Amino acid sequence: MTRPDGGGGGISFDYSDQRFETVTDEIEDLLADLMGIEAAAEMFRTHLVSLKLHHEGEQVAPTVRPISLPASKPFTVYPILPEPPFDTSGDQQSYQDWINEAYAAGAQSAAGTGAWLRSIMDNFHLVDAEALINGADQQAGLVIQHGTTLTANLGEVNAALADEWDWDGDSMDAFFTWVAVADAAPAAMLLFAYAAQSSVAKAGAAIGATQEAMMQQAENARDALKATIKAWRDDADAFPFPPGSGWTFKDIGTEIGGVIESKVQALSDTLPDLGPLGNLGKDWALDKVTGTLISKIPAVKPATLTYKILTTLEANEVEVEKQPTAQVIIDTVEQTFRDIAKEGDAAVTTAGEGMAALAASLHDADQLVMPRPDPTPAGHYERD
Amino acid sequence: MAESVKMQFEVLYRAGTKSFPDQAADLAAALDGIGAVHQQWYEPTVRAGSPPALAQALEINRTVYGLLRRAVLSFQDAASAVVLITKDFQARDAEARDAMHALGIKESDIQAPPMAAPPTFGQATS
Repeated sequence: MTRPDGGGGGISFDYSDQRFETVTDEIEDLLADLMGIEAAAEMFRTHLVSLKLHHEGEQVAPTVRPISLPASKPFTVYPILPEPPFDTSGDQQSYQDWINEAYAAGAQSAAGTGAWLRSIMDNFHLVDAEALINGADQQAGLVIQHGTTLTANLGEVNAALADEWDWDGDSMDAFFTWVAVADAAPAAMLLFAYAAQSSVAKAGAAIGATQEAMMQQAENARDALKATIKAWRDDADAFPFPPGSGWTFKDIGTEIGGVIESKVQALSDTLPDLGPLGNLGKDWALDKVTGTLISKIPAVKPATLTYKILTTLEANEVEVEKQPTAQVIIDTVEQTFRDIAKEGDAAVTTAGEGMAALAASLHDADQLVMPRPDPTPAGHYERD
Repeated sequence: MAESVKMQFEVLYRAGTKSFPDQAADLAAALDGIGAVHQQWYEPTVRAGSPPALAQALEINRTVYGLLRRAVLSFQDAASAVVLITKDFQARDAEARDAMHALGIKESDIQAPPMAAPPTFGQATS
Protein backbone atom coordinates (compact mmCIF):
# COMPACT_ATOMS: atom_id res chain seq x y z
CA MET A 1 0.00 0.00 0.00
CA THR A 2 1.22 3.48 -0.76
CA ARG A 3 0.84 5.97 1.99
CA PRO A 4 -1.54 8.81 1.16
CA ASP A 5 1.01 11.21 2.61
CA GLY A 6 3.65 9.97 0.24
CA GLY A 7 5.41 7.46 2.48
CA GLY A 8 5.22 3.72 2.72
CA GLY A 9 4.96 1.89 -0.55
CA GLY A 10 6.39 -1.35 0.76
CA ILE A 11 9.29 0.30 2.57
CA SER A 12 12.12 -1.94 3.68
CA PHE A 13 15.35 -1.32 5.49
CA ASP A 14 18.78 -2.80 4.90
CA TYR A 15 18.71 -4.41 8.30
CA SER A 16 17.60 -7.54 10.04
CA ASP A 17 17.92 -8.56 13.66
CA GLN A 18 19.56 -11.80 12.60
CA ARG A 19 22.18 -10.02 10.50
CA PHE A 20 22.93 -7.59 13.32
CA GLU A 21 23.30 -10.40 15.82
CA THR A 22 25.54 -12.30 13.43
CA VAL A 23 27.79 -9.31 12.78
CA THR A 24 28.04 -8.32 16.46
CA ASP A 25 28.90 -11.90 17.32
CA GLU A 26 31.53 -11.81 14.57
CA ILE A 27 32.88 -8.61 16.14
CA GLU A 28 33.15 -10.41 19.46
CA ASP A 29 35.03 -13.31 17.90
CA LEU A 30 37.37 -11.07 15.93
CA LEU A 31 37.89 -8.79 18.92
CA ALA A 32 38.81 -11.79 21.03
CA ASP A 33 41.28 -12.83 18.39
CA LEU A 34 42.83 -9.38 18.16
CA MET A 35 42.89 -8.85 21.92
CA GLY A 36 44.53 -12.22 22.31
CA ILE A 37 47.18 -11.34 19.75
CA GLU A 38 47.78 -7.95 21.32
CA ALA A 39 47.97 -9.41 24.82
CA ALA A 40 50.50 -11.98 23.66
CA ALA A 41 52.58 -9.31 21.99
CA GLU A 42 52.40 -7.04 25.00
CA MET A 43 53.43 -9.83 27.32
CA PHE A 44 56.47 -10.56 25.25
CA ARG A 45 57.43 -6.92 25.17
CA THR A 46 57.01 -6.81 28.93
CA HIS A 47 59.15 -9.88 29.36
CA LEU A 48 61.86 -8.40 27.27
CA VAL A 49 61.94 -5.57 29.74
CA SER A 50 61.87 -7.83 32.74
CA LEU A 51 64.49 -10.14 31.34
CA LYS A 52 66.62 -7.17 30.74
CA LEU A 53 66.11 -6.19 34.35
CA HIS A 54 66.73 -9.67 35.51
CA HIS A 55 69.96 -9.92 33.59
CA GLU A 56 71.12 -6.43 34.26
CA GLY A 57 74.85 -6.35 34.01
CA GLU A 58 74.95 -9.67 32.23
CA GLN A 59 75.28 -10.34 28.54
CA VAL A 60 72.26 -11.95 26.95
CA ALA A 61 72.07 -13.55 23.55
CA PRO A 62 68.76 -12.95 21.91
CA THR A 63 67.80 -15.19 19.04
CA VAL A 64 64.82 -15.64 16.77
CA ARG A 65 62.43 -18.11 18.32
CA PRO A 66 59.50 -19.09 16.08
CA ILE A 67 56.37 -19.56 18.11
CA SER A 68 52.87 -20.45 17.06
CA LEU A 69 50.41 -17.72 17.97
CA PRO A 70 47.18 -19.58 18.76
CA ALA A 71 44.82 -17.20 17.00
CA SER A 72 41.58 -18.47 15.50
CA LYS A 73 43.77 -19.22 12.51
CA PRO A 74 47.13 -19.91 14.16
CA PHE A 75 50.19 -18.36 12.61
CA THR A 76 53.87 -18.37 13.39
CA VAL A 77 55.55 -15.31 14.83
CA TYR A 78 59.28 -14.70 15.01
CA PRO A 79 60.09 -12.82 18.20
CA ILE A 80 63.69 -12.22 19.04
CA LEU A 81 64.01 -13.44 22.58
CA PRO A 82 66.85 -13.82 25.02
CA GLU A 83 67.72 -17.08 26.64
CA PRO A 84 65.06 -17.71 29.21
CA PRO A 85 66.46 -17.80 32.72
CA PHE A 86 64.18 -20.50 33.94
CA ASP A 87 64.54 -23.63 31.86
CA THR A 88 67.52 -24.71 29.89
CA SER A 89 65.93 -27.69 28.26
CA GLY A 90 62.46 -26.66 27.15
CA ASP A 91 62.66 -22.96 26.55
CA GLN A 92 60.60 -22.85 23.37
CA GLN A 93 57.88 -24.91 24.94
CA SER A 94 57.84 -22.47 27.85
CA TYR A 95 57.58 -19.48 25.54
CA GLN A 96 54.79 -21.32 23.74
CA ASP A 97 53.01 -21.81 27.05
CA TRP A 98 53.32 -18.12 27.77
CA ILE A 99 51.93 -17.05 24.46
CA ASN A 100 49.09 -19.51 24.78
CA GLU A 101 48.17 -18.19 28.22
CA ALA A 102 48.54 -14.56 27.20
CA TYR A 103 46.41 -15.07 24.12
CA ALA A 104 43.71 -16.83 26.15
CA ALA A 105 43.68 -14.09 28.78
CA GLY A 106 43.47 -11.38 26.15
CA ALA A 107 40.79 -13.16 24.18
CA GLN A 108 38.74 -13.58 27.33
CA SER A 109 38.51 -9.81 27.62
CA ALA A 110 36.21 -9.74 24.60
CA ALA A 111 33.65 -12.07 26.14
CA GLY A 112 30.16 -10.65 26.01
CA THR A 113 31.04 -7.88 23.56
CA GLY A 114 28.34 -8.91 21.09
CA ALA A 115 25.59 -8.79 23.70
CA TRP A 116 27.00 -5.56 25.08
CA LEU A 117 26.94 -3.88 21.67
CA ARG A 118 23.38 -5.04 21.13
CA SER A 119 22.40 -3.68 24.53
CA ILE A 120 23.61 -0.22 23.52
CA MET A 121 21.14 -0.37 20.66
CA ASP A 122 18.48 -1.85 22.88
CA ASN A 123 15.73 0.52 21.78
CA PHE A 124 16.40 -0.31 18.13
CA HIS A 125 17.59 -3.90 18.07
CA LEU A 126 14.69 -6.35 17.77
CA VAL A 127 12.29 -3.53 16.88
CA ASP A 128 10.29 -4.33 13.77
CA ALA A 129 10.32 -0.92 12.07
CA GLU A 130 8.67 -2.31 8.96
CA ALA A 131 5.77 -3.64 11.03
CA LEU A 132 5.30 -0.17 12.49
CA ILE A 133 5.26 1.45 9.07
CA ASN A 134 3.12 -1.22 7.47
CA GLY A 135 0.64 -0.82 10.32
CA ALA A 136 0.69 2.93 9.81
CA ASP A 137 0.00 2.42 6.10
CA GLN A 138 -2.95 0.20 6.92
CA GLN A 139 -4.36 2.68 9.38
CA ALA A 140 -3.93 5.58 6.95
CA GLY A 141 -5.75 3.56 4.32
CA LEU A 142 -8.64 2.61 6.55
CA VAL A 143 -9.06 6.17 7.80
CA ILE A 144 -9.34 7.44 4.25
CA GLN A 145 -11.55 4.57 3.12
CA HIS A 146 -13.98 4.77 5.99
CA GLY A 147 -13.80 8.52 6.36
CA THR A 148 -15.23 8.90 2.88
CA THR A 149 -18.13 6.58 3.62
CA LEU A 150 -19.51 8.50 6.57
CA THR A 151 -22.57 9.30 4.53
CA ALA A 152 -25.47 8.15 6.63
CA ASN A 153 -28.44 10.28 5.64
CA LEU A 154 -28.58 11.90 9.03
CA GLY A 155 -29.75 15.23 7.72
CA GLU A 156 -32.61 13.65 5.82
CA VAL A 157 -33.66 11.62 8.84
CA ASN A 158 -33.46 14.65 11.03
CA ALA A 159 -35.64 16.62 8.63
CA ALA A 160 -38.12 13.78 8.29
CA LEU A 161 -38.52 13.50 12.02
CA ALA A 162 -38.67 17.22 12.67
CA ASP A 163 -40.91 18.28 9.83
CA GLU A 164 -44.57 17.90 10.66
CA TRP A 165 -44.38 14.86 12.81
CA ASP A 166 -43.54 14.33 16.40
CA TRP A 167 -42.34 11.42 18.47
CA ASP A 168 -43.94 12.03 21.80
CA GLY A 169 -41.99 11.79 25.01
CA ASP A 170 -38.28 12.52 25.54
CA SER A 171 -37.03 10.18 22.87
CA MET A 172 -37.36 12.74 20.07
CA ASP A 173 -35.15 15.30 21.78
CA ALA A 174 -32.65 12.62 22.62
CA PHE A 175 -32.63 11.53 19.00
CA PHE A 176 -31.99 15.05 17.72
CA THR A 177 -29.09 15.34 20.15
CA TRP A 178 -27.75 12.05 18.88
CA VAL A 179 -27.96 13.15 15.26
CA ALA A 180 -25.89 16.23 15.98
CA VAL A 181 -23.10 14.15 17.55
CA ALA A 182 -23.34 11.29 15.09
CA ASP A 183 -22.93 13.68 12.18
CA ALA A 184 -19.43 14.79 13.27
CA ALA A 185 -17.93 12.52 15.90
CA PRO A 186 -16.90 9.49 13.80
CA ALA A 187 -14.96 11.66 11.36
CA ALA A 188 -13.19 13.34 14.26
CA MET A 189 -12.30 9.95 15.73
CA LEU A 190 -10.76 8.93 12.43
CA LEU A 191 -8.73 12.14 12.31
CA PHE A 192 -7.19 11.19 15.64
CA ALA A 193 -6.43 7.75 14.23
CA TYR A 194 -4.75 9.43 11.26
CA ALA A 195 -2.58 11.52 13.58
CA ALA A 196 -1.60 8.35 15.45
CA GLN A 197 -0.53 6.54 12.30
CA SER A 198 1.43 9.57 11.15
CA SER A 199 3.42 9.59 14.38
CA VAL A 200 4.07 5.86 14.17
CA ALA A 201 5.13 6.11 10.53
CA LYS A 202 7.67 8.82 11.36
CA ALA A 203 8.95 6.93 14.39
CA GLY A 204 9.17 3.73 12.33
CA ALA A 205 11.16 5.52 9.66
CA ALA A 206 13.52 6.94 12.31
CA ILE A 207 14.00 3.51 13.86
CA GLY A 208 14.59 1.87 10.49
CA ALA A 209 17.13 4.50 9.49
CA THR A 210 18.88 4.05 12.83
CA GLN A 211 18.98 0.31 12.33
CA GLU A 212 20.52 0.76 8.89
CA ALA A 213 23.19 3.05 10.35
CA MET A 214 24.08 0.67 13.17
CA MET A 215 24.13 -2.26 10.77
CA GLN A 216 26.51 -0.44 8.47
CA GLN A 217 28.79 0.63 11.31
CA ALA A 218 28.84 -2.87 12.76
CA GLU A 219 29.87 -4.27 9.39
CA ASN A 220 32.55 -1.60 9.08
CA ALA A 221 33.85 -2.48 12.53
CA ARG A 222 33.94 -6.15 11.64
CA ASP A 223 35.87 -5.35 8.47
CA ALA A 224 38.28 -3.11 10.38
CA LEU A 225 38.96 -5.91 12.86
CA LYS A 226 39.53 -8.35 10.01
CA ALA A 227 41.94 -5.94 8.37
CA THR A 228 43.82 -5.38 11.62
CA ILE A 229 44.16 -9.09 12.32
CA LYS A 230 45.35 -9.61 8.78
CA ALA A 231 47.96 -6.93 9.33
CA TRP A 232 49.27 -8.76 12.40
CA ARG A 233 49.47 -11.94 10.36
CA ASP A 234 51.11 -10.23 7.41
CA ASP A 235 53.62 -8.58 9.72
CA ALA A 236 54.26 -11.70 11.78
CA ASP A 237 58.03 -11.26 11.68
CA ALA A 238 57.68 -7.91 13.49
CA PHE A 239 56.08 -9.63 16.48
CA PRO A 240 55.87 -8.64 19.30
CA PHE A 241 55.83 -5.16 17.78
CA PRO A 242 52.58 -4.04 16.24
CA PRO A 243 52.09 -4.13 12.50
CA GLY A 244 53.12 -0.96 10.84
CA SER A 245 55.70 -0.21 13.52
CA GLY A 246 58.39 -0.65 10.93
CA TRP A 247 60.34 -3.22 12.90
CA THR A 248 60.77 -6.56 11.30
CA PHE A 249 63.16 -9.41 11.75
CA LYS A 250 64.83 -8.52 8.46
CA ASP A 251 65.18 -4.88 9.41
CA ILE A 252 66.77 -5.44 12.75
CA GLY A 253 70.06 -6.76 11.39
CA THR A 254 73.09 -7.49 13.51
CA GLU A 255 72.65 -4.81 16.14
CA ILE A 256 69.91 -6.88 17.49
CA GLY A 257 70.40 -6.43 21.20
CA GLY A 258 70.62 -2.66 21.08
CA VAL A 259 67.73 -2.37 18.71
CA ILE A 260 65.55 -4.52 20.88
CA GLU A 261 66.61 -2.68 24.00
CA SER A 262 65.80 0.72 22.60
CA LYS A 263 62.61 -0.51 21.07
CA VAL A 264 61.54 -2.26 24.22
CA GLN A 265 62.40 0.78 26.27
CA ALA A 266 60.35 2.95 23.99
CA LEU A 267 57.48 0.54 24.08
CA SER A 268 57.76 0.08 27.80
CA ASP A 269 56.81 3.72 28.19
CA THR A 270 53.46 2.78 26.84
CA LEU A 271 52.96 -0.25 29.01
CA PRO A 272 50.50 -0.17 31.84
CA ASP A 273 51.72 0.48 35.32
CA LEU A 274 52.51 -2.90 36.74
CA GLY A 275 52.61 -1.63 40.30
CA PRO A 276 54.80 -3.63 42.69
CA LEU A 277 55.68 -6.02 39.89
CA GLY A 278 57.54 -3.27 38.12
CA ASN A 279 59.90 -2.79 41.09
CA LEU A 280 60.90 -6.38 41.58
CA GLY A 281 64.11 -5.96 39.62
CA LYS A 282 66.68 -8.66 40.19
CA ASP A 283 64.41 -10.47 42.57
CA TRP A 284 61.85 -11.00 39.97
CA ALA A 285 61.32 -14.74 39.75
CA LEU A 286 59.64 -15.07 36.41
CA ASP A 287 58.53 -18.63 36.91
CA LYS A 288 56.55 -17.57 39.95
CA VAL A 289 54.99 -14.40 38.75
CA THR A 290 54.24 -15.25 35.18
CA GLY A 291 50.69 -16.22 35.94
CA THR A 292 50.15 -13.06 37.95
CA LEU A 293 51.77 -10.96 35.29
CA ILE A 294 49.54 -12.30 32.59
CA SER A 295 46.50 -11.68 34.65
CA LYS A 296 47.78 -8.17 35.35
CA ILE A 297 48.17 -7.31 31.71
CA PRO A 298 45.22 -5.15 30.90
CA ALA A 299 44.96 -6.39 27.39
CA VAL A 300 42.22 -3.93 26.72
CA LYS A 301 44.64 -1.04 27.03
CA PRO A 302 46.29 -0.19 23.74
CA ALA A 303 49.97 0.40 23.31
CA THR A 304 49.69 3.33 20.98
CA LEU A 305 53.34 4.03 20.37
CA THR A 306 53.29 3.56 16.67
CA TYR A 307 49.61 3.15 16.16
CA LYS A 308 47.65 5.64 14.21
CA ILE A 309 44.21 5.79 15.64
CA LEU A 310 41.46 5.56 13.12
CA THR A 311 38.83 8.16 13.51
CA THR A 312 36.58 6.39 11.09
CA LEU A 313 35.62 2.80 10.72
CA GLU A 314 35.57 2.88 6.96
CA ALA A 315 37.16 -0.44 6.21
CA ASN A 316 38.55 0.77 2.92
CA GLU A 317 40.67 3.30 4.73
CA VAL A 318 42.33 0.73 6.93
CA GLU A 319 45.99 0.49 5.99
CA VAL A 320 48.72 -1.62 7.43
CA GLU A 321 50.52 1.51 8.56
CA LYS A 322 47.42 2.76 10.36
CA GLN A 323 46.19 -0.20 12.29
CA PRO A 324 43.99 0.60 15.23
CA THR A 325 44.21 -1.53 18.32
CA ALA A 326 41.34 -3.73 19.34
CA GLN A 327 40.46 -1.28 22.08
CA VAL A 328 40.46 1.67 19.72
CA ILE A 329 38.18 -0.18 17.38
CA ILE A 330 35.76 -1.29 20.05
CA ASP A 331 35.82 2.14 21.70
CA THR A 332 35.05 3.68 18.35
CA VAL A 333 32.25 1.19 17.76
CA GLU A 334 30.80 1.93 21.17
CA GLN A 335 30.95 5.68 20.69
CA THR A 336 29.55 5.36 17.19
CA PHE A 337 26.70 3.20 18.41
CA ARG A 338 25.98 5.61 21.24
CA ASP A 339 25.97 8.52 18.78
CA ILE A 340 23.68 6.62 16.43
CA ALA A 341 21.35 5.67 19.28
CA LYS A 342 21.32 9.28 20.48
CA GLU A 343 20.40 10.55 17.03
CA GLY A 344 17.85 7.81 16.60
CA ASP A 345 16.28 8.62 19.96
CA ALA A 346 16.12 12.29 18.99
CA ALA A 347 14.43 11.45 15.68
CA VAL A 348 11.90 9.21 17.40
CA THR A 349 11.27 11.93 19.97
CA THR A 350 10.68 14.45 17.20
CA ALA A 351 8.23 12.06 15.57
CA GLY A 352 6.23 12.03 18.78
CA GLU A 353 6.08 15.76 19.37
CA GLY A 354 2.58 16.81 20.24
CA MET A 355 1.34 13.27 20.66
CA ALA A 356 1.01 13.50 24.43
CA ALA A 357 -1.12 16.62 24.12
CA LEU A 358 -3.16 14.99 21.37
CA ALA A 359 -3.77 11.88 23.47
CA ALA A 360 -4.78 14.05 26.42
CA SER A 361 -7.19 16.10 24.34
CA LEU A 362 -8.75 12.94 22.98
CA HIS A 363 -9.06 11.54 26.45
CA ASP A 364 -10.95 14.64 27.53
CA ALA A 365 -13.09 14.92 24.39
CA ASP A 366 -16.45 14.10 25.90
CA GLN A 367 -18.16 15.37 22.77
CA LEU A 368 -16.80 12.35 20.92
CA VAL A 369 -18.57 9.94 23.24
CA MET A 370 -21.65 9.20 21.21
CA PRO A 371 -24.85 8.81 23.17
CA ARG A 372 -26.73 5.55 22.87
CA PRO A 373 -30.26 6.19 21.60
CA ASP A 374 -33.01 4.08 23.10
CA PRO A 375 -33.43 1.31 20.52
CA THR A 376 -37.03 0.81 21.61
CA PRO A 377 -38.28 4.29 22.40
CA ALA A 378 -41.64 4.56 24.06
CA GLY A 379 -44.52 6.62 22.68
CA HIS A 380 -45.86 7.08 19.20
CA TYR A 381 -45.02 8.93 16.06
CA GLU A 382 -47.86 11.30 15.35
CA ARG A 383 -48.81 14.19 13.20
CA ASP A 384 -48.36 17.59 14.90
CA MET B 1 -51.20 10.56 -0.50
CA ALA B 2 -49.00 13.57 0.17
CA GLU B 3 -45.62 13.42 -1.56
CA SER B 4 -44.01 14.69 1.63
CA VAL B 5 -45.35 11.75 3.62
CA LYS B 6 -44.09 9.32 1.02
CA MET B 7 -40.68 10.96 1.06
CA GLN B 8 -40.55 10.98 4.84
CA PHE B 9 -41.55 7.36 5.07
CA GLU B 10 -38.92 6.42 2.53
CA VAL B 11 -36.21 8.35 4.40
CA LEU B 12 -37.06 6.67 7.68
CA TYR B 13 -37.34 3.25 6.10
CA ARG B 14 -34.00 3.60 4.33
CA ALA B 15 -32.27 4.93 7.45
CA GLY B 16 -33.48 2.14 9.72
CA THR B 17 -33.03 -0.76 7.34
CA LYS B 18 -30.06 0.33 5.28
CA SER B 19 -28.03 3.48 5.88
CA PHE B 20 -27.71 3.32 9.66
CA PRO B 21 -26.83 -0.39 9.69
CA ASP B 22 -24.43 0.23 6.82
CA GLN B 23 -22.83 3.06 8.76
CA ALA B 24 -22.53 0.84 11.80
CA ALA B 25 -20.96 -1.91 9.68
CA ASP B 26 -18.54 0.53 8.08
CA LEU B 27 -17.42 1.90 11.42
CA ALA B 28 -17.11 -1.67 12.68
CA ALA B 29 -14.75 -2.40 9.79
CA ALA B 30 -12.67 0.65 10.71
CA LEU B 31 -12.75 -0.55 14.30
CA ASP B 32 -11.54 -3.97 13.27
CA GLY B 33 -8.70 -2.43 11.28
CA ILE B 34 -7.59 -0.20 14.15
CA GLY B 35 -7.62 -3.17 16.51
CA ALA B 36 -5.42 -5.15 14.11
CA VAL B 37 -3.01 -2.26 13.63
CA HIS B 38 -2.83 -1.78 17.38
CA GLN B 39 -1.69 -5.38 17.74
CA GLN B 40 0.87 -4.87 14.98
CA TRP B 41 2.31 -1.82 16.74
CA TYR B 42 2.29 -3.17 20.26
CA GLU B 43 5.40 -5.39 20.36
CA PRO B 44 7.70 -3.00 18.44
CA THR B 45 6.56 -0.22 20.75
CA VAL B 46 7.50 -2.18 23.84
CA ARG B 47 10.81 -3.23 22.32
CA ALA B 48 11.57 0.37 21.38
CA GLY B 49 11.18 1.40 25.01
CA SER B 50 7.71 2.89 24.55
CA PRO B 51 8.73 6.32 23.23
CA PRO B 52 5.89 8.86 23.15
CA ALA B 53 5.66 8.70 19.35
CA LEU B 54 4.58 5.09 19.66
CA ALA B 55 3.15 4.83 23.16
CA GLN B 56 0.84 7.81 22.68
CA ALA B 57 -0.19 6.51 19.29
CA LEU B 58 -1.17 3.25 20.94
CA GLU B 59 -3.06 5.19 23.59
CA ILE B 60 -4.88 7.16 20.91
CA ASN B 61 -5.72 3.99 19.04
CA ARG B 62 -7.04 2.42 22.20
CA THR B 63 -9.21 5.46 22.93
CA VAL B 64 -10.39 5.74 19.34
CA TYR B 65 -11.23 2.06 19.40
CA GLY B 66 -13.45 2.59 22.43
CA LEU B 67 -15.12 5.62 20.89
CA LEU B 68 -15.68 3.91 17.55
CA ARG B 69 -17.07 0.84 19.23
CA ARG B 70 -19.55 3.02 21.04
CA ALA B 71 -20.35 4.74 17.73
CA VAL B 72 -21.06 1.37 16.14
CA LEU B 73 -23.41 0.42 18.95
CA SER B 74 -24.93 3.88 18.76
CA PHE B 75 -25.74 3.56 15.05
CA GLN B 76 -27.08 0.07 15.66
CA ASP B 77 -29.37 1.42 18.39
CA ALA B 78 -30.40 4.31 16.15
CA ALA B 79 -31.24 1.86 13.36
CA SER B 80 -33.43 -0.16 15.73
CA ALA B 81 -35.14 3.01 16.95
CA VAL B 82 -35.84 4.31 13.45
CA VAL B 83 -37.18 0.90 12.39
CA LEU B 84 -39.55 1.04 15.33
CA ILE B 85 -40.59 4.59 14.41
CA THR B 86 -41.16 3.59 10.79
CA LYS B 87 -43.29 0.63 11.78
CA ASP B 88 -45.30 2.79 14.14
CA PHE B 89 -45.62 5.46 11.46
CA GLN B 90 -47.21 3.17 8.91
CA ALA B 91 -49.34 1.43 11.55
CA ARG B 92 -50.84 4.66 12.80
CA ASP B 93 -50.99 6.79 9.66
CA ALA B 94 -52.91 5.79 6.55
CA GLU B 95 -50.90 8.06 4.29
CA ALA B 96 -47.70 6.48 5.52
CA ARG B 97 -49.14 3.02 4.92
CA ASP B 98 -50.17 4.07 1.40
CA ALA B 99 -46.64 5.36 0.86
CA MET B 100 -45.23 2.02 1.98
CA HIS B 101 -47.41 0.17 -0.50
CA ALA B 102 -46.60 2.64 -3.24
CA LEU B 103 -42.93 2.01 -2.67
CA GLY B 104 -43.50 -1.76 -2.87
CA ILE B 105 -42.48 -2.27 0.72
CA LYS B 106 -44.15 -4.88 2.93
CA GLU B 107 -44.50 -4.40 6.65
CA SER B 108 -42.24 -7.38 7.22
CA ASP B 109 -39.53 -5.60 5.25
CA ILE B 110 -39.27 -2.91 7.92
CA GLN B 111 -36.49 -4.38 9.98
CA ALA B 112 -32.82 -3.84 10.44
CA PRO B 113 -30.40 -6.52 9.26
CA PRO B 114 -28.72 -8.62 11.95
CA MET B 115 -26.14 -6.47 13.72
CA ALA B 116 -23.57 -7.98 16.05
CA ALA B 117 -21.94 -6.01 18.82
CA PRO B 118 -18.27 -5.45 17.98
CA PRO B 119 -15.66 -6.97 20.29
CA THR B 120 -14.34 -4.93 23.16
CA PHE B 121 -10.77 -3.68 22.96
CA GLY B 122 -9.55 -6.50 25.14
CA GLN B 123 -11.31 -9.11 23.01
CA ALA B 124 -9.99 -7.59 19.80
CA THR B 125 -6.37 -7.38 20.89
CA SER B 126 -6.01 -10.53 22.97
